[in-house]
Amino acid sequence: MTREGRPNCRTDSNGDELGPEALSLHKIRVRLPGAKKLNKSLYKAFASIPVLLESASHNVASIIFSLPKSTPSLPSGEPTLLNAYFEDRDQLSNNSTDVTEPPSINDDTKENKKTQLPAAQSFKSGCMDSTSYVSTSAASAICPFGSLKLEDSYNTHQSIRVRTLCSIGRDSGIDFSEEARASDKASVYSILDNTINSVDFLHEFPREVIELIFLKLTPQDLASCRQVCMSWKEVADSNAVWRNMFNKKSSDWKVKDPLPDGIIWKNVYKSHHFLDQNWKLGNVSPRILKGHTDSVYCVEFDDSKIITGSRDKTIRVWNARNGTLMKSLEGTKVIGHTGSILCLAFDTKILVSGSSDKSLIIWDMNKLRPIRRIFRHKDSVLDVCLNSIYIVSCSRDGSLCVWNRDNYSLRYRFSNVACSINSIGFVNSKTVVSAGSDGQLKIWNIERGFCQHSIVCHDRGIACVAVYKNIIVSGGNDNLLKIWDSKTYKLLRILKGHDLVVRAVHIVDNRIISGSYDQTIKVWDLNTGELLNDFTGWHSGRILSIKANHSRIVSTSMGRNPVVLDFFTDNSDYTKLIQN
Amino acid sequence: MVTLISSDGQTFEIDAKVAEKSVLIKNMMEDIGDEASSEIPIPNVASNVLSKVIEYCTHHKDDPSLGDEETNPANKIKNIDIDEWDQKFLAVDQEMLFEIILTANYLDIKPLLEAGCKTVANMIKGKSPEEIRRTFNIQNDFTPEEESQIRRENEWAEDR
Repeated sequence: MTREGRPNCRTDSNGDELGPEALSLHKIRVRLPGAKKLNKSLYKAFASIPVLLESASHNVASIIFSLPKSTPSLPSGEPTLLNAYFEDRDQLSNNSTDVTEPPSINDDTKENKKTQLPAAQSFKSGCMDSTSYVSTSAASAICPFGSLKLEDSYNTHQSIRVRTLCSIGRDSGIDFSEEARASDKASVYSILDNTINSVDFLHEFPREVIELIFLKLTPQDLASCRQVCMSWKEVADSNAVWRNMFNKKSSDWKVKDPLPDGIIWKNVYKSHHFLDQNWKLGNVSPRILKGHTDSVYCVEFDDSKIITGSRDKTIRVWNARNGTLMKSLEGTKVIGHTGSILCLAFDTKILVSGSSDKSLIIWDMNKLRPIRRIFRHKDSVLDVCLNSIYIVSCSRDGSLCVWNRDNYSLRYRFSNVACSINSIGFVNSKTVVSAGSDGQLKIWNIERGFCQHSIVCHDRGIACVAVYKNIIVSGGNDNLLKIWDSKTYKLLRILKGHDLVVRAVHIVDNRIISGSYDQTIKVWDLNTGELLNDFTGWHSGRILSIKANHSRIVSTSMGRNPVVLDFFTDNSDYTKLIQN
Repeated sequence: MVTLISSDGQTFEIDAKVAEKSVLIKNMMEDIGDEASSEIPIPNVASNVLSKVIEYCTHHKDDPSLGDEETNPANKIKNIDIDEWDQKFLAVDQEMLFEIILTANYLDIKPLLEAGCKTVANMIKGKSPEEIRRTFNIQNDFTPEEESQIRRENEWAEDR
């Protein structure tokens, strides 16, 4: 690129005399309302003049001094009189463009420059809608719409420093003063350059490139973008952008599959955003489930129903959407629990309940009728879990039973009279972890029937255990929660916060939810161990059971009424699309 | 060596390794076969832009080629950081920046397209609507009623 002496500044009517060198040296654009881009020949005509004309609104024109990138030898002489004649806003008449000598800015000192540049020049500005003459010199000009100052700019050899470039009347657009004060030459360049030659890229780029750019923004930035103009709003609201925004979020953000046609991704994103906010701030809409007449020991739920088991010997099925009682399972004369319901588990086909009457009952999930009652434990059945092949139960007598799901026959029975097994959970389809009152977690291979590992982990008994991916969390009588790696059995973290026994724990979406005899429900960050929320006042007795999904926590206590804390507070249709 | 010909007829003789940063050129070269003096016209890219793009490709010629951005989970959550050299390289005026982006898109040079788009995104980030309009010389075509409506709709995204 040539950076030699300035090209001839005088141009003919269409500016063609200026060579490409001039273009590469200085870029100046004249902007007028409605005129997206200056036509090429006028652009050329102005190319050698270190002045930018700008019109920011109908009756306002502004002029910004811009120094050429390289000004080895600016011709000295009288200040510039630049006349630009505009036929109308959208059309620039080449014939009327006349450019005379530019201002003198040479390698001398600032003082020198200032003396050479008069403070103000004749400035005629008509209405930009019709005809206007704009003329200017350099250092400073008073114009009808604001003052224009070039306070401190000088160039030294190949570099130019610009400070306080200009400050212009209120609407007129650009005030570089702040940025341009930066001492870094390069940054001054880029600020000037980027803004001076500005073009709306929406009109330049193919759609996929525009989307690529918008994807790199935050929702807050997109909110600004949609205020810019109609075409920006259209892109900033588009499904393509928001689908990707959604997918860019953590893997906790899921939607149901398949999604309905006509889905508006921005709304799906918004629903999830509100959900996250509510988890963060602890905003919930609560619902109290009224019906049990005594302590409620256990709860399980899915999208449509919540099932609870109580000391009142009943199992109750509640409508998960509105909290109404759908059914109370009291068994038949032949099959029914005669003691408290201490634990339960269900899937689409069966419900299994365990009781202080030492038995388990298998219920048909659809008909909600008992199918079979099974005995093998010698004391209360404290916990139960099931998968597609096995049902696993544990008891106060220290036994752990593995049942074949297909015919409810006993597959294995492990017994350890030394302690009670309080809680169990599947680590994977063939492995179960158990939590004992001796403070040990044991890992059982239920397919082949042996204990493959023991971890002594709490000083006192372990009340509850939960598994999520490769994480096991245990809650103990020492009031602590401990996080373990289920592959290496290493202790990863200890969570302190509860004042009494941690009786119930559940993990969902990288959150640990714990319930304690101290009557609080705490939400912890699985990865950082940070206490995210602390819900108090919902229960008037020891918390006995807790379950959660992406949007709600259901807890039960020695008080009679289970509590549903729902983090979806807006009830929008899009909440239905978010995956459990 | 490969010879690229810009829209204004200028020729650029470059290393095949440099040219292959462009997936388009790479594919074209494969289609043409291994002819020693292959000339590839790039009809919609001017010489000043093409020389910039070649400068980029030359600098990055030894970079390992990225896997497909979308399928590589490591790339999924990306920050807005741009390599320092790229940052300087892209510190050009808007017109040149946009030309580079268009060329990177056309020639299918993903890392350059990425860096260019990030640069533009950085010009938007943190700005008010009015500042964005100024940055890209955009006219506000909303009525005041529409503006206040949009502001209301935006409230959800504001504090985070």
